[in-house]
Amino acid sequence: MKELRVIKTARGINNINKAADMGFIPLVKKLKPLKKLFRTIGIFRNKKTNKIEEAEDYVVYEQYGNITSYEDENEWELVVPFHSYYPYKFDSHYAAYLIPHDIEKGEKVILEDLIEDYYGGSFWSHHIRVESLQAIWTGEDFSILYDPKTDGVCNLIG
Amino acid sequence: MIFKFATKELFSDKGVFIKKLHCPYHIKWQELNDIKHATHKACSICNKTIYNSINMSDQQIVDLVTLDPKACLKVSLNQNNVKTVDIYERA
Repeated sequence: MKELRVIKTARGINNINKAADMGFIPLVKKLKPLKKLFRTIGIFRNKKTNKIEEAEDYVVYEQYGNITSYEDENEWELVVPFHSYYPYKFDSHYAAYLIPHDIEKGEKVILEDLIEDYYGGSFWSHHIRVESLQAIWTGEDFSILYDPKTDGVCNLIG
Repeated sequence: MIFKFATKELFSDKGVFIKKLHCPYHIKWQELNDIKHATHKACSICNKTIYNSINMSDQQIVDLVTLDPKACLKVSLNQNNVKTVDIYERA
């Protein structure tokens, strides 16, 4: 196993331009939300407390066998119907990989903060976004090395 | 254990901070070397054992990290001894 160079990501115009001043070449990309990472929820209001809760169904099965039901109409009101949304938030709708001048074509690197969306497995109703992956510099862009068998699972190390 | 996914911070069930999971080499579990008769694995970059926390108690992990604050762990979101929270808030 070889130690790989880590390629940083800058998000937002100020951070990208600051990196350019430092000598990096910004490879700017638009964020494209992956449909597989979207989440479906509805918003329920508790009629006694007026507090709201997010739920992906009228009956929700959670970790440790916890079950929550919103079926009792005397207790719960669906105030926002079930809808699909992208749950991940970023400061800007575009970002840039910061390319060092000495990168070589064919060099394998780590993209520490991915701009592209990749599916990293599911955890109950949540679909996890992969944060970092290895990639190969083609001379113009990165060829990202994503293997659903190893990267599509929710394992963390550190 | 409680695992705050967004910040990669691991806490005991009582809310005591244990450690922040961070690997500077972004190693994958599958890339590590197996250790005979153990569920743990070995990292050849750092020459360290990566402890599989799946069958470890809070106390075992606290003791391990107290003894070696740089001890490395593998945590899976779906393992039974971990409650995962804060999935979408970025660090």
